[in-house]
Amino acid sequence: MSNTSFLKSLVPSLALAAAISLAGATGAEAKPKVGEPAPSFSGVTADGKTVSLADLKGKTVVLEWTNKDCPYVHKHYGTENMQNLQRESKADHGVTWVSVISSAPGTQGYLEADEARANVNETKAAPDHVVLDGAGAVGRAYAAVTTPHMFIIDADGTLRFMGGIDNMPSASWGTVKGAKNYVRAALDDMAAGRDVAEAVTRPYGCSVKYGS
Amino acid sequence: MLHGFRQLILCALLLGGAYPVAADTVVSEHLTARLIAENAITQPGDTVTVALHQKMAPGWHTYWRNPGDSGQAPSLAWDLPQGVVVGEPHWPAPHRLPVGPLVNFGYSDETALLYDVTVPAGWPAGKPLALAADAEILVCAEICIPVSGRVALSVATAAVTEKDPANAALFAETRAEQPLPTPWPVQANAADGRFSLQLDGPQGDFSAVTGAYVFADVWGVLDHPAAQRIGIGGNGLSVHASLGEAGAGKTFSGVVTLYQGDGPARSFRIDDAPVGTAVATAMSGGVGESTAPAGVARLIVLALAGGLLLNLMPCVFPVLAMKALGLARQADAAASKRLIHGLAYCAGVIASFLALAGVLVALRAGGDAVGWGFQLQEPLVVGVLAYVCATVGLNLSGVFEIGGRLAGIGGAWTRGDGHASSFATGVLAAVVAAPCTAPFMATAIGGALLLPPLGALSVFAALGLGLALPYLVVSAVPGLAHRLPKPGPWMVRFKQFLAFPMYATAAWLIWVLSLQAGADAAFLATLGLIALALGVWVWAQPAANGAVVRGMRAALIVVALGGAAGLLGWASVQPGAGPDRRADSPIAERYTDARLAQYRNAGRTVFVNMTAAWCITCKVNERVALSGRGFEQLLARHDVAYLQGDWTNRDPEITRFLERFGRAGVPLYVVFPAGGGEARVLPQILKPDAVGDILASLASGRA
Repeated sequence: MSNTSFLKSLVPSLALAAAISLAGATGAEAKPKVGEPAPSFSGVTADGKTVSLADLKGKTVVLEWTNKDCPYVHKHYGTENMQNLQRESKADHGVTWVSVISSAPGTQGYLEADEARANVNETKAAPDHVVLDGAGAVGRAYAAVTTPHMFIIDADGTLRFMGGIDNMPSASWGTVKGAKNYVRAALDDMAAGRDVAEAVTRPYGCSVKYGS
Repeated sequence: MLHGFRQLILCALLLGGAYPVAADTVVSEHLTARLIAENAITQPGDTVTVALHQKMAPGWHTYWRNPGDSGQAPSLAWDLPQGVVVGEPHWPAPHRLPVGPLVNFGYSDETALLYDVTVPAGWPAGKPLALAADAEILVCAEICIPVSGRVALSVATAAVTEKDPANAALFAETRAEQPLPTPWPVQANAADGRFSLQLDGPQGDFSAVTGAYVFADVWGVLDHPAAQRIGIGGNGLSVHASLGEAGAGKTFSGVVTLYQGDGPARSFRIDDAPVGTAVATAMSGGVGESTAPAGVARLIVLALAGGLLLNLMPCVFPVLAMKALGLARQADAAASKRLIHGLAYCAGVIASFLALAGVLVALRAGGDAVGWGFQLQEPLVVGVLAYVCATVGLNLSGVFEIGGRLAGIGGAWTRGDGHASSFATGVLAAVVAAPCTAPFMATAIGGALLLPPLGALSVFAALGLGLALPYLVVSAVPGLAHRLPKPGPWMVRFKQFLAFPMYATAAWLIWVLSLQAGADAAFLATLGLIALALGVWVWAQPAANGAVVRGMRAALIVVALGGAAGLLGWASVQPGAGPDRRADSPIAERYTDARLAQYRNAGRTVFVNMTAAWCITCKVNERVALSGRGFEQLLARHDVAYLQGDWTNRDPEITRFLERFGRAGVPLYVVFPAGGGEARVLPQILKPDAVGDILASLASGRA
């Protein structure tokens, strides 16, 4: 056996050994945790601008995952519950409201920029930004699983609340009135300088339509 | 979006898509729901089981009581006559419904929720009982449609109770899908984001199980999409999952499903199992997406360091020095030749470690309770290793040379065809390294054996790489070989000197053998070594002339080597279990699970020391920190019960104990505080006052 051919046969096997050594080490994604810095994100809005969490620092940010055709989102928009919450939060607490659409192209709730703007007008909603997250990057960063799914980030960038919008996980429109609204309660707690009493609640709704 | 009150109603109706067909059925495009009674007639005072039967369109599903990451469980708002009581629903065992990165729990095709309806005793027999409920059922495929409507059923009553044969098949099928009560004791544990469920049953009950999944009754207890792994061992089956956002709470309720490859899955109901804090780690087999633990990279680094340090151990050092000497002779040879030999050696080491790891992983996957060091728990293997070390020593002493006609160690390389011998030397280095442990190695290996097979093999490959690295570096870097001392007569003396550490290693291995198989075995093995030395010496003599002499020589070799092998075989089957090691530490008691439980129940602090005769780190620790009057007084002062487990030979009870703490080898030092509480694990290398520190901190914590 000549030197070079042996060398050639050795190198791949050693490379394999080295590869096996490295193959085991892969990273794990961290899930968002209340009390820790909120995951950073960057997305394109329906107005064609790019917005990131860093840009919004200094004011309380509310993230609302939405899908206009989901019956649970219907419940909140049809009863004007969500629109009222948006206006109130902005007036009372100076919130920056970001609606996020993480439906992948071709799935329920996916909207192009002009469709998203039209939907905002039709529903008389009041978000400051509508992030078009068709690739699902922002959704995955926050482990958003349902529409609606709510997150509240304080002015320093710390996550203060995540989960369902209220305690009535039903699609019936009649369950909006009289439900305990966790987002409103959390914003009130934050304004009073208290810890958010119910900071992690069960998110309910349709599943976010991530692409494969 | 529509505005206006009327349009609102219309929208809701259209979204619900439900319309009453008959009085008792809700029908929509993708779901039909109705109530069905098991009995044709029911006597007042008796209970009748009523099923909420749901039939879904193909590809559509409804949900379990915990729907998972999204979705909604069906709900019934009953409208009942006075005095009629309906119990909580009995849910069939749920199925996992993955949706991209989410996981939901529910049913496809069809399912039925069972309700127990009690007819009041005072009910007039013959008067039908009208059951009705407003149902809200979410049915989903890719999109979701909440279906609502009214289901109703008229239950006939009479002086007797009779089942309805028309519905018998449906109820039989539905009952078969209900989870069974768990036949084994159940223990749940949660800590550090992990959750484990232990089913304490005989291993045979779980022999066909390939995976399992735990479904929590409520949202937030478990992370639904996270992988769940199983471990099957001496104390049954354990399922290991990740905690969800809300955590576990004081008790756990849910369903555990055991999968059996192509066979039927079995589901069991768990109600209010108390949740403890002692989470162990799993071994093998999983359900769901595989997530690599973040610690693998750390284990690989530890393994590399351990491998590097192994080079300094007395069992490995002679082999390494031998190779280095060969390099010195080769300093003038072509750089590529040196590099090839370095790579061949490296390949030999890594291949041997991977092979050893492969055997270990395979044994464990087969359910065998073996850990690292398993190769030293077999007397025969220990004997063979002793023979190998003695043979290497004889070679270094100059009794014989490898490669017959080639003179000296370096001869092979200068002839350019010693690649195989370099590879073989690498294998030899790995083999003699097997009995030794270096710092970091035990941690790395212990962690590695609890990873999935690929992760485990990577760590072992890293260990081999660490072991081979110094030689590889010297052979690869051009200038270094020249820095080695030039060959000379001193080299022969050094070589002969190196024989003695090898003999010492062989002697130590014979000592281990004596503990495993008795003094007789040690004597036989030693005789075998002498026969081996004789055979090797005869074989190394120059070829003689004359057929008779040649024949005698051959016969002598065969007799000697055969005798050596035979003596070793005879030694390995000696039954004696050696002198009782525990006599070494008069203050220690032999470890058993029962003893530990006894002391813990009595409220005493317990210190457990898992050790083995062949574990050098253990012996050093015991000298440094666990012996002497000071230590005895410490134990007496804190009223500590001292249990010592001897893992020199295989002991499944000790292996299980090691696994409970995520270890696969010895040493392991654990302090169980008095009065319950979380066990404290000490580091593997003990400082002299290590135990004292822990006991003091426990005492102050309690005060």
